[in-house]
Amino acid sequence: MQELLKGILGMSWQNIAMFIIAGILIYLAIAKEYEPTLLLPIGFGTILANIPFSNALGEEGVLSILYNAGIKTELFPVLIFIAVGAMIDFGPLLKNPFMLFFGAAAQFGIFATMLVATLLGFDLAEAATIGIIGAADGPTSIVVAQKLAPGLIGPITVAAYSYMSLVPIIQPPVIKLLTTKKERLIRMEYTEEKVPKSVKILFPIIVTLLAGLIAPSSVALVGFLMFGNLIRECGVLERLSKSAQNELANIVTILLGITIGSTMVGEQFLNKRTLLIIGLGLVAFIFDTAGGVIFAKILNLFLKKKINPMIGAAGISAFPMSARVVQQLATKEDPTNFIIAQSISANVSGQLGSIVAGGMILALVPLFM
Amino acid sequence: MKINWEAFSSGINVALLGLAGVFTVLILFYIITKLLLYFCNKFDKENSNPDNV
Repeated sequence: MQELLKGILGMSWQNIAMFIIAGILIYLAIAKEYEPTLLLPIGFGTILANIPFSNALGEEGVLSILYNAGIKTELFPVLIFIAVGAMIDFGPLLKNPFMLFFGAAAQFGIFATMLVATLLGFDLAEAATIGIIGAADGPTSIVVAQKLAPGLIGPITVAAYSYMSLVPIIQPPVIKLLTTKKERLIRMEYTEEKVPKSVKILFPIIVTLLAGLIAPSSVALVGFLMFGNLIRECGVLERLSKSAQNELANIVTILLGITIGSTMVGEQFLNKRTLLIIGLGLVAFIFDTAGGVIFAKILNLFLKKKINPMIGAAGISAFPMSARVVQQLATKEDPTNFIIAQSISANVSGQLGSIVAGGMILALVPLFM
Repeated sequence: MKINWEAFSSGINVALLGLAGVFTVLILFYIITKLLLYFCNKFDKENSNPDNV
């Protein structure tokens, strides 16, 4: 009898709180469709990890095996990068390469949040890991967290994916606060450059070489993303490209989500630091948006043809939500103003920028620890 | 709450170098992209117009 009641008797308030959190994540995934592919598996993984005496955890537990094989080794995030690379069309960026600068400016939030986190008592590695939530890039956040602060991987991942899905709520007030109506009405000419196929093929190879030579610690991140993109663009591997975009992405997402959920064990997850991390994640997204917008405003001081500063906010990695948010705001001010092409270019740049920022963090933080 | 000033000052270094690094890499990407577009478009034009040879 005692054996049958073992699970119930072993329940603690932390287990119950984690079941509630898991329920919220599953609710958000199903009812609100907030990043359902990740939040639902994370929610269910949290349930599995918080059942007392769960045999899914422990040395021979399947979730522990998945964690050791897929997260500790960075295998899952890197495989996701192949899939993401196969999904990204760098065409809009290659047609309008100037937008690359916004992909850099919008990474400001990562570094600013890192500084705020150090002021709140986190050590440098933890602070950098918290800052990387601002990359708005799940796999990059997981890789950086795993390398610098593995204990924070659960809250970091949940915060990263949750805020990514909340971009339409987070960005508009920040953009409106930092821009005038006149600025939001700025129209931008769109001159499209012809992009030969050879450029689309050479771009991922050269970017990998360049990023790898400057920041070797970014090779796994940039390299696999670009490998996926090369499969897409080469034109002779359509079957592999489709597999990477569908089967590979789906299988790894399922395993990644449920494994991340398994790291959210009540005793370790429920503390003040987790709340601070979740709060700082929001700060990172706000700083990112502000960084991009302010950078565009500074550029406007020197440019003859003014840029609509809202474009700067699209320099984050949350694709294509951020570009859509910017176009929606532009349409609200003037239904005939179309800046979606430029926003998409900035948004694609953000995907590159966030990975480069992740590589920089991985390269620099160990030097100063 | 105790502020870790050592971590903060290291953080400033990481932030400055990191942001500068991100800009440097993306500026290089910009230059490379422009060069790629220039040379590939030029090569395409020459190939499609053999009279120029």
